[in-house]
Amino acid sequence: MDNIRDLLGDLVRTEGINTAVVVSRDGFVIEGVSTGNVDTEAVGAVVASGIGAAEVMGRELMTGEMTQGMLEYKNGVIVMSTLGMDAILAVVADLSAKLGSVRYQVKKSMPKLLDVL
Amino acid sequence: MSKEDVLDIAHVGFLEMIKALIGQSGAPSTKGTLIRIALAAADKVDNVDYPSIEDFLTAVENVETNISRIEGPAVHIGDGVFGLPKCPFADSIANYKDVFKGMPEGFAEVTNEFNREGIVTDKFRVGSGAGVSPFCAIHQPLRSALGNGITIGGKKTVIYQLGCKSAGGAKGLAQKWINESGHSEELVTKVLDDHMCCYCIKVEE
Repeated sequence: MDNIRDLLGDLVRTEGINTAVVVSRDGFVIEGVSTGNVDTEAVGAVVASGIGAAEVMGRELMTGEMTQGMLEYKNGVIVMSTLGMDAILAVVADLSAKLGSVRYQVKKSMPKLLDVL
Repeated sequence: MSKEDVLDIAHVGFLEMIKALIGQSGAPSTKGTLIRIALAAADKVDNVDYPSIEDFLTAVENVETNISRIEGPAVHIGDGVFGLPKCPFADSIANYKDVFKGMPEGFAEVTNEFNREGIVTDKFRVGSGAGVSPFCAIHQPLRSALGNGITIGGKKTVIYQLGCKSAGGAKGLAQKWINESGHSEELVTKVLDDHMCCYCIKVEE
């Protein structure tokens, strides 16, 4: 069985993905892999508060439980997915990434990550 | 107007800020933020070495350790177990309750989150039942992180949070850390009869 680091390593080998991090719901990094200069520890805190805010929004607007969120910026994309009740997968991709491919790779990795968490 | 009616805006602002954090980003994220605040504060404090355990205990008695500076005087019960007579957040809590007749919404959720097993609470040997309010998510990791910066005769020290008591008198025990530290539940319960917080310091061999 792969470990979390191997699975995140597979994700960052996808074209355009430069960072993949699994964080606990309180924002502490469980494991992170980055091919660039991204401080994965810092990613943890902002991802947890970001997804927490998105969940509050979903609750207020009665759209059900959050499963995935995607934020598009001028220079890249962040995809955040809830990993069960206790963790979050966050992937950072640059503009060269194909969004469909990023989302497919994220979706493919989720059950494997849940298995090893 | 009596002194009790005076609103301390710093206290109220702080408690309301925690409430706002809970409302805007949820209890797990709020718990993480409170812990990160504590760890960032501890990072700013210099490490200290005490030549012997006696020197350390004298410093505790004189309220001169980095830990005393954040929580006031602690009482050495014996065998490295300490009782804290007053919670450092007691005044904030009392002031808020005097004015608003209760605590802000959502605080219980953060307390429950703090007591759940987590990477950082395990690393710092806090929570796990010893949390009785969101303030424990600041106080306990801060103390443990400061403890990591204390050496005795060059040897590292580790702090275990054993229990805590709420302003209402409810005791929270960290069974996991009580077992791991080798102290008894009876001792911790007894310490909490007369103190608000109970922890132990061990010197690593």
